[in-house]
Amino acid sequence: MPQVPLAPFALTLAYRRGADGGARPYLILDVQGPAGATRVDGVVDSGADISSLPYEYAAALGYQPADLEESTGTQASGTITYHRAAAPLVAWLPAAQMWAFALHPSFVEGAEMALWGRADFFRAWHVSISEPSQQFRIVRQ
Amino acid sequence: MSVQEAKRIQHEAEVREDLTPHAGRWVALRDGHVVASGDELTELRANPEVQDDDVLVRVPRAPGGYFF
Repeated sequence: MPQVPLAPFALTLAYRRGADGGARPYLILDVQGPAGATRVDGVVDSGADISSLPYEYAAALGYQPADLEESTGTQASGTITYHRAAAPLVAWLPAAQMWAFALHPSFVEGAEMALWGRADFFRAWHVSISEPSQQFRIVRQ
Repeated sequence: MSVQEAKRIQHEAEVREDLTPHAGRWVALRDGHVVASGDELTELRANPEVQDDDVLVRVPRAPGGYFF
C-alpha cells in the first residue's frame, strides 16, 4: 500500500527569553532516551556543528558511562570536553511527533544550555532566522 | 498534529519571572513560571511536583549578558 506523503509542517516563532533573560531563537524539543522522554529547551544555533546538551542530561535520559565516548572539541572560548552517545535520541517538536527525527547528542561538561546544531537538527529542518524581526522559521517537508 | 498547538507550547515557554534566585540550579518551568527546583536534574525530574511536559532548564550562574 503506498504511503501518503505528509503535508509540510512549518512554524514561525518569535525569539523568546530564556533562563538568563536573553531573547534568542529558543526551541523546545521532546527528546526520548533510553530512560524515557523529557522536554528540553535549546537554542537553534547555526554556528554549532553538532547538537549538544548539558552533561547532566546524559544520566537523566538513561545513558550509562559505557554508552558515551569522551572527546574534545572546540568552542569560541577554547577547548571543551564532551561525551558523544553512540545511540541517538529520538526528538520531536511538541504536538508534531510525526515529524520526529534522530538527534545525536553530545553531552558537554559545564554547559548550561542545549544547542540544536547543524548535523542533525538543521538536516531534519529547514531553518531561517531573521534577526531584524526577531523571528525564526522551521519547515519540515 | 497542530501548528497552532505547537506554536502555543513554544510561546508559553517564555520565561516570565526573574530566575536570578535560582542561579546555578535546575528549575522546572510551567507556563514560564517556576514550579520546582533542585540542585541536580535527576533530583528535579523525580520531584512529584514536576510534570512530564514541564520544561527543565539550568539557570546560568551568571544570568544576563551575551551568549558567545
